[in-house]
Amino acid sequence: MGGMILASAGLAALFAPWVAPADPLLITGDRLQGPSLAHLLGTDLLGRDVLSRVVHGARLSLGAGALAGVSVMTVGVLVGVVAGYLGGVIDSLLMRLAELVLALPGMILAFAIAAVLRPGITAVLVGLVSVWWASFSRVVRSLVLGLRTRDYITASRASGAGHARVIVRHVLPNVTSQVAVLMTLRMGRLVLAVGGLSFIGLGPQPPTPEWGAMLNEGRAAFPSYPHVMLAPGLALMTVVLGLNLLGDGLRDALDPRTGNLADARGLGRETSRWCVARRLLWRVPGGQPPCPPGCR
Amino acid sequence: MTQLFLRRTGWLCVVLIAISALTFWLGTLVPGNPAEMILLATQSEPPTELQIRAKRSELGLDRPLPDQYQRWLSRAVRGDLGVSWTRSVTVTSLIVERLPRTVLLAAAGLALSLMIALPLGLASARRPGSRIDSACRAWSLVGGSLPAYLLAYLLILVLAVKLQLLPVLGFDSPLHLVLPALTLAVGSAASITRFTRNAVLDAMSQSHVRAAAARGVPENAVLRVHALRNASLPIVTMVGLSLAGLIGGAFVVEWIFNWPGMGTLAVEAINTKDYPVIQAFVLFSALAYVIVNFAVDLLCAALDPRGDRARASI
Repeated sequence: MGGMILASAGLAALFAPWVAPADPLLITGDRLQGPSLAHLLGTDLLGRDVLSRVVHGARLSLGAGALAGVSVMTVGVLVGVVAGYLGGVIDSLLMRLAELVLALPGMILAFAIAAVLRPGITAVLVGLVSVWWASFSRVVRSLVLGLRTRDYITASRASGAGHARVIVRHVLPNVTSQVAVLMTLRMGRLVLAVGGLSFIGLGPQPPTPEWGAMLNEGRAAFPSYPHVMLAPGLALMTVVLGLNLLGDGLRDALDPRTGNLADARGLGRETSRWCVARRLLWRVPGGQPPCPPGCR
Repeated sequence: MTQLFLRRTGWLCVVLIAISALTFWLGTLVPGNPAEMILLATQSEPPTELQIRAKRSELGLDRPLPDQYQRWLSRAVRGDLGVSWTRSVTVTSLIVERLPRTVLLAAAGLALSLMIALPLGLASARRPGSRIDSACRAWSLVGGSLPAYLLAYLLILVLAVKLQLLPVLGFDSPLHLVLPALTLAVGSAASITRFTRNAVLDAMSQSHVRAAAARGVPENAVLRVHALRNASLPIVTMVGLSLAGLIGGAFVVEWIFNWPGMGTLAVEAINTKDYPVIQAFVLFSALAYVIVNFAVDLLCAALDPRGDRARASI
């Protein structure tokens, strides 16, 4: 898990902005475009220090990504638990809705929703969350279905654990830990999606530093002064790489047999839960999972 | 089989209706007054209050929503998607002009991506744990972290600017297709490589393949006859999904390279708040995506020799 090392780089990027912004936020300095001198990463079209913009942009880009991730998890868990636990009509309805959302192209839908709202980070967040909750809710639902028949659930109901609410106290902890792992795997793509929507112009508007928006701004200067685009771009890529490595590392830690999928047969619980989750996330039509034959 | 087909077709219809409803509903959420916008576009002086009101009732905008939806739908089905607010041409003509170009780009991207990814995935699976394998997996990882909008500029920097090999903007020659298609290709190649590798590894680990290898069947034959046949189904699924994914994601790349397709149209429409165009873009992209997925579904069902009963579904 050397991946964990790079992952800490990702985490460091998260905390750095609060600790030490390289320079004040927006120096509208006189210099228009300058390569690496007193300004470590140069200045952009308006004379602002690229490094400090990148560092502050991390707050918005990563913060939005994190917020989006948490929102997706919350909505997904909510819907999934309700559907899985209550079953029946509500279950079918919610799952049909989820399938509908999944049937539509994600980026297009997010794009459409964000386009209708006023451009800004909220639009991007709303757009992305409305699309991404669906696959999570399906995973959660299947997890809940699996848990519903467990002994401790039956036991607590039998001992008069009144509501669904008390039982939720058993269901939720088990579910959220798994969902959190899944989320770390997808977090990279989520951050990229935030950047992508901002790049088109649906996100935070000009003076605000955000990596996607900065990439957009850098387009004008591009061929002659690549550093204006390269700085936020490489920052974005490194962070996403760190996130992906972290996700992979976590998954490897929990599911010991990654390299050789074929031997997953005898592993029982973790693997089958994992396979179910993965299969759901993949939403491969025709029910063909990229999963070994031993998996349920 | 027929039952599955009917069920899937039924679901397809539901999804199509949902798409149309969603697109229509998004259009109504738009801030701003459509009547006013159209009048502003078509006449030279700012419209008067009376004109706006007249236009509103002409367009049926003062009727209840379900009514409006029905009118919109009936017009849309007949091919009338309204007039662009900024360009005063029918939206349909814009779509007809631009859609084929987007399809061309997506197809080229997919073809390139397959040319890169399939051999790599195969090579990686044949020697698991080797340097090729590690290289491919690393490449998969990096490819998944590299967004298209950054990759595009990196490619431009290297191929177009420094090496002066390929043109960047516009549409004039076949060479113009290379850079955008390459950008799209690299993006999906990363995941296709990883997927192919896993699928082939899975297939190769199955008992009949191992038995064949143990019997002494030469490695190439084992690969070709036994393993690939089993692996081909998930791979075909993946290809179909990638195509669908490309349809969904190509619009950013199009805009970057100024490739005059649906994507550029959509982004321009966003900036000028030209909602009929945005609506049509969402409609068509969603349609294409859903239809491709549906086709993949059917293909999957048709190709799977194990039949309906053996197919596990959730």
